[in-house]
Amino acid sequence: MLERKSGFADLLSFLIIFLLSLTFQNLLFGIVILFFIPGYLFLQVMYKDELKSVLSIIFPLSIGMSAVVVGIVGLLHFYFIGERFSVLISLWVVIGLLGVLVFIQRVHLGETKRIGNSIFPKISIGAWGIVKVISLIVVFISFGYYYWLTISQQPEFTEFYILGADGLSTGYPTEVTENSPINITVGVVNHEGKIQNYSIVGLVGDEPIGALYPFEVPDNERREGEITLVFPRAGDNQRVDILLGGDGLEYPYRHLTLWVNVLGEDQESN
Amino acid sequence: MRSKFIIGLSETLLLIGLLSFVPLFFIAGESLGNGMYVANIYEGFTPIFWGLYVFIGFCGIARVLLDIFLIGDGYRWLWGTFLLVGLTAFFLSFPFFQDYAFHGQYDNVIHYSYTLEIYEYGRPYIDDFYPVTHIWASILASLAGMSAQESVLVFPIFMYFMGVSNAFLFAWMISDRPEVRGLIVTMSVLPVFTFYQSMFYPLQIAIFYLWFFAAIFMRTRSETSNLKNAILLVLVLILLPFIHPLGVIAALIFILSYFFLELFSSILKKQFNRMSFFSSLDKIIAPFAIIFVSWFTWFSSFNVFGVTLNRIYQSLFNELSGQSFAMRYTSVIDRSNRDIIEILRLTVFVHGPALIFGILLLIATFGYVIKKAIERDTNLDTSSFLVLGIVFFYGMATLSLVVDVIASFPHRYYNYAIAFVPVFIAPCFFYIYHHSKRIGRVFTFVILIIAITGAFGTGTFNLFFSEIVRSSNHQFSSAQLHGYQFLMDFTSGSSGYIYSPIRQTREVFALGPFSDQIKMLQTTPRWRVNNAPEHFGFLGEPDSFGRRFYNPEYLIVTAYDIGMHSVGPQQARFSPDDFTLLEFDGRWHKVYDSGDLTLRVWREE
Repeated sequence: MLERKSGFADLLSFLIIFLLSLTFQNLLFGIVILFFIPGYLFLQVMYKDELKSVLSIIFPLSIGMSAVVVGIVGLLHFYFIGERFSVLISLWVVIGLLGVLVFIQRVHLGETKRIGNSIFPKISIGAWGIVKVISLIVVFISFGYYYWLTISQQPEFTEFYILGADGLSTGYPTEVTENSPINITVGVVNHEGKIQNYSIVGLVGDEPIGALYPFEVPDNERREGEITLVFPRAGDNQRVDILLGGDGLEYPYRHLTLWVNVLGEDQESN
Repeated sequence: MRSKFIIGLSETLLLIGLLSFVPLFFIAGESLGNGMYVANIYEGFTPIFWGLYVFIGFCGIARVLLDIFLIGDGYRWLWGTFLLVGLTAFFLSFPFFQDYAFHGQYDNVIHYSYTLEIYEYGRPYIDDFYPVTHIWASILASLAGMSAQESVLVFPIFMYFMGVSNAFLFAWMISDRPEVRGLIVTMSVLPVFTFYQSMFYPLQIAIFYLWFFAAIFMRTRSETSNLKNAILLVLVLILLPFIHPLGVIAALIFILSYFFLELFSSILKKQFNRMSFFSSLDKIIAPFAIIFVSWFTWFSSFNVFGVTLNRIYQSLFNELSGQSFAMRYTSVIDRSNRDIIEILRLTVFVHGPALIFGILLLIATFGYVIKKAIERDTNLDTSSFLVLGIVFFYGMATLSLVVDVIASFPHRYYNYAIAFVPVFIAPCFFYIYHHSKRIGRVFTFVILIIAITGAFGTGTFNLFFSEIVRSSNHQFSSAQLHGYQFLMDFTSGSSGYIYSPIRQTREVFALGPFSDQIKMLQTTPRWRVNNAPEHFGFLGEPDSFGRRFYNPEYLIVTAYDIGMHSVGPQQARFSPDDFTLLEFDGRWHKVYDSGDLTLRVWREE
């Protein structure tokens, strides 16, 4: 039977933290500051030498009290100090003050009554325990794999749009003339997580009436250009499909529509 | 020998459950989407994944019950509980890992905007009447170096952990027996709080906080109580009104219930007199006064106070002010052609945990009272007082099924009831089990394992909106967010109206701090998006065709709108065919497409 304090669990958690990314460490840091440290220090100050009376529940009590302390500090800060400086400064000041008080108390109480080191319960590990610990390590590693897969991923999509005459989403052409080219501003914003090649084609029915040759857009960048459309036949309510395609993207990837009345050349001259 | 076998079985269940996480993580890793809208999150994973998921949950529950009832060795049950907590936390983390922009199409976005207000401008918005959760989320964002958006997304996970911790503390204060504590904690950590648990909702956070309040309150009632405990209670009480008003009502009912239990106990023991009455009253008067005064002082300064009171009055004594849950539920049922199987399925998944906990409550109360009566035992468990609060909230939930009481979601009230059911029933079941013969014990064990697994299963499949509950996922994707940003950036200066299948004013709050967005709504009223006419005007009299949009300029259609109208309560206004027809509707130019949001502009004639 192996008896120990909390070393193994701590070692394991630190190992995992270092294995994982900085984001995870930051998050853990934020959580500990927000949901443990203030309450823990507050309880130490409150209960001084009577801390033993709450020792068995010090973890959950600290978590709950942290939420209370942070909430009250936040409220007091916002309604009394306001925007003069960040609420984090108030929080750090309170944590610092509580820390100093705990330190002073400990100096006064002397070495024998220190209890901060004994909040971890003693755990004995038998044969089943060792198997459990190994299983836990395997589970943590597989979670690390899942975490690594997800953290390196971002939403993958493309924004595709057309703009009207003033460079705004208004004033789109509703009446054009047969065989007279018109220019339409098209825009693409790439959020695919990589440099992406796109192409744009304008169709009336199945007939292409204009196209933009393949062009490259870096990740998280916007490209705007003009597509020239020439309407071959006159007629009312013609539907113009403006389709976006791209390398490795299903076609059509995005689909926009304009509705126009196409006047005959003779109608225009009239 | 039997004991060794049961210990071996319990350890084996734990190990199998634990190791099942490995394939679960691998399958989840392989099933990641690309961040685009997914109408049914449950369909995004293979049946093997869900099989494993439920199996792990079952292993955790079985382990806990074996440890509590058949082994009874201290805190062995903790392992099984950890299994359930890990599993639930993993599920709650899906919106974060699946790259949602927000999890929630409605209030959640408002809460983000409130949080961003603090994060950006260093102060809560003046009308933010529950600022504490927003303060927590903005501080977490600052401390962890993440955006307010990410903080709001991960916050439900950490609130769940806080809830687990508070449930543990409450269980500790309610009972001295590790086994009873185990049963309370295990039932409290189940994912039974529906979508309120998976989204950023102060209402749900208030429930988790309420457990902490209850624990501290019980501590101050104990014999070892002292001034220090009283100070803790005062701090806890002061903060509660700033979390959520309904939490205050629950706390007041909790305190009153405790008072009535003391009275009832003294009557049972034939010790009731004037002294005992005032002694009981004395114990609750201070906390009751503190919480009531702090709540009234805070909440009455907001307009919402008057609006809420008026709404309650109108709901209860005048005509209905809104659509009750039952009305919406009936319309969903109507569309299922009143298929009895479908109605039952829907009831089980929508109200499963509340029903199961309600049934357990009845069994526990009945069994407990009978046993106590047979044994002429007049000592009541401390937790007995909770029954009043539980009944009150079940009553409110039932009332809200037929009347629109503030918000017509009965789960608002169910959640408060089922938060306290485990604390009440666990000591009862434990008492019943240990005062029963073999058959009674087997019956109790079987009932519990079926009920807890049932609550776990139905709760899991109602944690996110999906087709299972005849709704659509409330995922607010990045592609949707960019669509709103596009409209904001490239909008015309005219005053033409903006339409959407589901009227939305909240979505603009996804784009900035609350004060900026509210100012924008005041200066540009058209951002208070209008409801598009039914079926986009495709049905109805021919002469009304195309004339139902008043002064239209833009029409926003999101993937959520389409998903919602395929399955959800709004289905009557639009059908999936309407969205297909819209593609051929010559009245609208379709000028923007992000995959999850399309923008159409009215064709100027």
